Order: sequence, then structure tokens, then C-alpha cells
Amino acid sequence: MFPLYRFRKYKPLGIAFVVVIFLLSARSLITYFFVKFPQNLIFSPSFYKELIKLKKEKLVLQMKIEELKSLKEENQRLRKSLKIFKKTPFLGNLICKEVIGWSPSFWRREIFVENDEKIKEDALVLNEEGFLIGKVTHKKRRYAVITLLNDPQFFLPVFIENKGRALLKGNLEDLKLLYVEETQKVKKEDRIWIKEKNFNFPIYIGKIINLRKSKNSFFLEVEVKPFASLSLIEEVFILNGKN
Amino acid sequence: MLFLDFLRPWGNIFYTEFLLLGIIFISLEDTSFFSFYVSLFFGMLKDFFSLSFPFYTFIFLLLNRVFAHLKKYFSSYRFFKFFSLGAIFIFYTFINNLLQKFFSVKFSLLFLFHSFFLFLLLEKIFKRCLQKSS
Repeated sequence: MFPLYRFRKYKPLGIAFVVVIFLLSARSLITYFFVKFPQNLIFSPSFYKELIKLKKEKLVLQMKIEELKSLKEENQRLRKSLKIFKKTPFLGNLICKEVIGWSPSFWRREIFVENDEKIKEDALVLNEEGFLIGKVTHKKRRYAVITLLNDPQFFLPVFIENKGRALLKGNLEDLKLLYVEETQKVKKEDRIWIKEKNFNFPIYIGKIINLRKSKNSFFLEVEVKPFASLSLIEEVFILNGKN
Repeated sequence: MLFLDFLRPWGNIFYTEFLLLGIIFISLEDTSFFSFYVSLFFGMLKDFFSLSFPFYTFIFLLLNRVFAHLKKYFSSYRFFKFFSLGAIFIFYTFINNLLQKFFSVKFSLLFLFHSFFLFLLLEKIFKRCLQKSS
């Protein structure tokens, strides 16, 4: 005969198993009694359905309001830019792109924008106020990389008012002008600018905020503050070089 | 954490790299090979976005293994965490400054202090979340 007494010690386990199976199969019944039944006592089922529908609609409308708010802000920014660019020969030669990301390294100041056939490498990039913020350095299949003015790898030959030329270098926090001689007679508040080869129009970059003579160098140490904010950038305008 | 570095919702207000803080947190909490693979994966992802392969992959793996060994031998010391964090941030700043040929005392000090402060803050938040979920 089969020794059933051997399995007697597993009796509580068996009971627990049966209870779990019962609870699982009767889940909808239990939910009805403990959740839906009290709700039905308070609201009628149709009223409750209407409430849920309204809650969903409210959420969708709230999201739409947020979307419209951001679109309104974007519209205002672009209108302001249009007013500024109308006075320049760049209008019609600019590609507006939204910034999709930043370089994750804190030692680099590079931004990513969606790629476009019209974007060319080394193209200058302006902000919504028409000031230079950087240039396009790489182009990949899906995105283009813009190196900002304050990136340590950024170099650009520029003009200092009408006093001559110098080399602009990024320095993470501010910008530096290299190879500025004393004979150039540069002073504080002098503006730095650049001219794109296809447009006979100056693009302003920043102004000199500090300059001092170095003992160990022939050249002056010059610090430049950019006119454009390089911290929070949402849209950029890329010059595509046609005139 | 990588998304915070990639999207920079606060611009450049915080002088820190959130992914670095995340890697340090996981390396401190878990010395097994799980944290090693996490460091490897996110190091490669960061290299992909910052076009610098294999710099960050190597640095993050190195940090992970160094933390594992330090924890094994020195975790009983009282100020182990503060000293190791300080050493790691200084090393990371130095290596990045060298790579970019850039040096600024103000920038390096700000990076050190911001990273320290934010790491301790995020650690507190993460630990509280983990306690709640368990």
C-alpha cells in the first residue's frame, strides 16, 4: 500500500497551494466586491466611466496646454530673430535647427543638431540675436556637431574692431585672444568680429574684458566675453554660405 | 545619469558629470562584476557621444576596479569614502585637463566641490529610494 503518512508533513503546503489557486481564479470576484462594489455604491457605473473619461481628457488637455506654451515661447524667440536677421544679408541663407543634445563630457562644449544636406563643415553658427556661437565641425549621417566658442579645441581667426587680427581660442569659461601685440593698441570694451567670405557683413562675437602684459611673452594676454549666452541654447542658425 | 549629461537641463550650472557620479556610486555599493559591466557599457556609450573612444571606457573601468580593491582593503578606515572620493575627483580632473590641454585652478576646484556635494546628495536620495523600495 502507498505510504500516505509520509506526505502528512506537507499538508500546510498543500492547503496554501489550494488557497492561492482559489484566490487567483476568484480574483475578479474579489476585486469586484472589495473595489468596484463600494465604488458602485457611491457612483453609478455610467457616472464612474464618465469620470474616468474626463480625467483622461483633462490630462490630454494639460499636456496640450504645456505644448502650446512651449510653442508660443518658441514663436516669440523666432519672431525676435526674424526682426534681427531682416536687417542683415543672412536672411534666406540660414538653417534653423533645434539643439538635440550636448557632449556628455564637461570638458567639451559641443552641441548636436539634426543633420541636413545643406549644412556644411566649418559653417558659422549664430544665435537668435545674430551673434556668433560656434562652427560646424563634424557631420555624421544623422547629426551634425557644433563646437561652441568656449570649447578648448575651438580656434578662429578674428578681427579686433579695425585694429588688426588675432586668434580666438575657447577656454571653457571665457575666451582668449592669442597673438595680440602691444602696437595694435587694443583696449577694454573693443569688439571682436568676423566676416564670412560670402557676406560683406560683420558678425560680432564678444568684447574684450581684460588685458594684461605678460613678462614671458611678446604678446598680450587678452580675455574676451562672448555676447551670446553659451550655457542654455535651444535653437541655432547655421549660415549655409550662399549669397 | 547619462541623459542628464547629454541634455543638460540646467546648462552648465553644476560643474560635474552626472554619469561619473553614477559610476562611482555603483562601484562603491557593488564590487561584483555587475558594476564592472555597467561601467564598461556606460563608458562605451559616453565615448560614442563624445567621439573619444576608448578614453572614458578605460577610465570608468579603471575607477571601478580601483574602488573594488580600495574597498576590499581599506573600507574599515573611518574616512575611507571621503579620501577615495577626493582622490578620484582630483585624478579625473587632472586626466581631463591633460587631455584637453587646459588648466584652470578655479574650474578644477569648482569641479571638485560641486562633484563632492552632488555625490553626497545623490547618494542620500538613492539610498532612501532603495530603502523604500525594499
